[in-house]
Amino acid sequence: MDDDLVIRAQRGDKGAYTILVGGLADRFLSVARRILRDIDLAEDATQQALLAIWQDLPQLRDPARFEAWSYRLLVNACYTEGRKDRRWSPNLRLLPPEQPASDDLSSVVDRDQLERGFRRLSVDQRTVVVLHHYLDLPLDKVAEVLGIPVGTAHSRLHRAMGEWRAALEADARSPIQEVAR
Amino acid sequence: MSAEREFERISRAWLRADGEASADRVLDRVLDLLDTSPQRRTVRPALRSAGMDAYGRTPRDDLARLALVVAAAVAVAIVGINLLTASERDEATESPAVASSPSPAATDLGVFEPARGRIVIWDHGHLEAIDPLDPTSVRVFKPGYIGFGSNVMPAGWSADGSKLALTTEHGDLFVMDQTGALDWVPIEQLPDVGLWNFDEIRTHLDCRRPRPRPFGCASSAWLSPDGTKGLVFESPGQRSLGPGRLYVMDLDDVRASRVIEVEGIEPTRSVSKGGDDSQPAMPVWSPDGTRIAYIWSKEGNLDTPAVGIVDLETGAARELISGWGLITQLAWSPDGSQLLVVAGPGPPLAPGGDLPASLFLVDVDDAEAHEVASGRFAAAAWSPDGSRIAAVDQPGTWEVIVIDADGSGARQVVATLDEVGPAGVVWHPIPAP
Repeated sequence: MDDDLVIRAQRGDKGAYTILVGGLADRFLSVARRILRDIDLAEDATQQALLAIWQDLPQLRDPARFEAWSYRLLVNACYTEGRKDRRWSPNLRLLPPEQPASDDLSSVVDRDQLERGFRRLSVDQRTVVVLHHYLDLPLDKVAEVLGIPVGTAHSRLHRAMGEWRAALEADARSPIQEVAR
Repeated sequence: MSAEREFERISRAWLRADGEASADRVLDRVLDLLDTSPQRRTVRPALRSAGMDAYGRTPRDDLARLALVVAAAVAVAIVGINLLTASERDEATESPAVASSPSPAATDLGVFEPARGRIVIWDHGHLEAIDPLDPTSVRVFKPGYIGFGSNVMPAGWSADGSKLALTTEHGDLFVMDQTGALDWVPIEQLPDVGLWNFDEIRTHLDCRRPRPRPFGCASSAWLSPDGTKGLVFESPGQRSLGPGRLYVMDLDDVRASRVIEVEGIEPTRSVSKGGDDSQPAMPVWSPDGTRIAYIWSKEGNLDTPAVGIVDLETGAARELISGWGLITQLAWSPDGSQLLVVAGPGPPLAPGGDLPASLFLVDVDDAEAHEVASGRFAAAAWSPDGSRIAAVDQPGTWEVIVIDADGSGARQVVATLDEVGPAGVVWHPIPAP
């Protein structure tokens, strides 16, 4: 990330801000969508995070930490939207149809099963899984974004993957299929 | 390939299967909103334009700091107290630093309305207000974004419930009012910061906690009861010889309106910069604003802390308790007669274990102490009427309990599966209607 852009945006340069977040927005939406499993919630979270970047950038002391800082804003926004989802919107809409799965994947486990299992995880758990397995952030970076110790990030990820697998196994045994949480 | 690795491979492929989405529509909306969403600028830019650095310090401040660091060794033992002001000695001697009565309850708590009468903790980027009588009722409210430290700890309400002090993991300090406005308090301007910020906590406590919490020991009553002042103690390395200094900080103009010198601190040893454990710390206001309790160490070692009380009207200081293992928090009872002390035996710790810490009540007059609950408590707060105590416990995963002040009736109000929880808990002082 270009520190100079960050500094200019900190000083209120909207052009610099536009360039800065223009390079982030698609990735933000993709991350939020994977965490929240709902495109509308994901768009709201992304908007909230991008706006927060503008509003709070003057308080960022170290421009070199912009990326981790901005992802933390996104994660916080996802938590906010996730709570709305949990409290007031029990019926999630499924993500739009996805591209065909790879042969390997479809041959081993059903994609809907993966979806259902993933939805059973808490937003906390989904977040650590997405940051590590989708964004490829190493666990120390995940910990930095989440503001938790590395050991906690590791255990949270381990637990999330374990529960995800357990959910798949339970799903495979159950004749009843749950469409959405 | 193990089943675990195979599942990891499958899940990665699944997560990546639908590619990146276009956020053009979102970006357009955000750019449209910029004009009506001003940047939150705090005192810092203004100070910078006034010739100070990013933290509000002038070159002169730096020289002063340097001179103080060169000085020598801070030490311990309270013998007496002198009161003086930084620039207005007369003003300080004419009136107590903060002897004001608590303000009447705000009729409109604004953004804090959801917190009225509730236990408040910080969790996942939000303040959560939990009804102690119905823990399933959780209200969530969120202050404006606080720096880049989403890990925040509430550090006390004003008496009328209209202001809340918040500290971040990076040691920043904010005061939020009922309009939602968030003022960053540039504590770096002052000679030093005695509010234990998170860096200091790491310095001091990491070695004591096999599994250090991201939060630690910020004062639970940092705000004066009238919400206009804060407390700052000197931190290690800034002054290494002479009396300890407690700064009463006026939050409006962010200056130390009064300095209380704690005389009689013995220069027991030389200390290097950042290495002095003998500082007094964790100052907490009494409910009537006339006294301050604080933690310090008689032996220059945090492993053997003591608790002192300073009377702001008379300047008298006295030791209340000493010889305890490790004290992490103090909280005055609403009637000012007792101190709730979170304390444990301190090191050495069992390998892999967290730090045991119990809740104690100490009578302020005769120092009689008794244990209310044992556990691994990180923080605690009184209910407004003094009949109950809310505490963050960490028996493995963290939880919040509420217990009657006599130690009976403990009940869990928050249970989690997370290993690391909030180290701060506050209870809104205004009861629910």
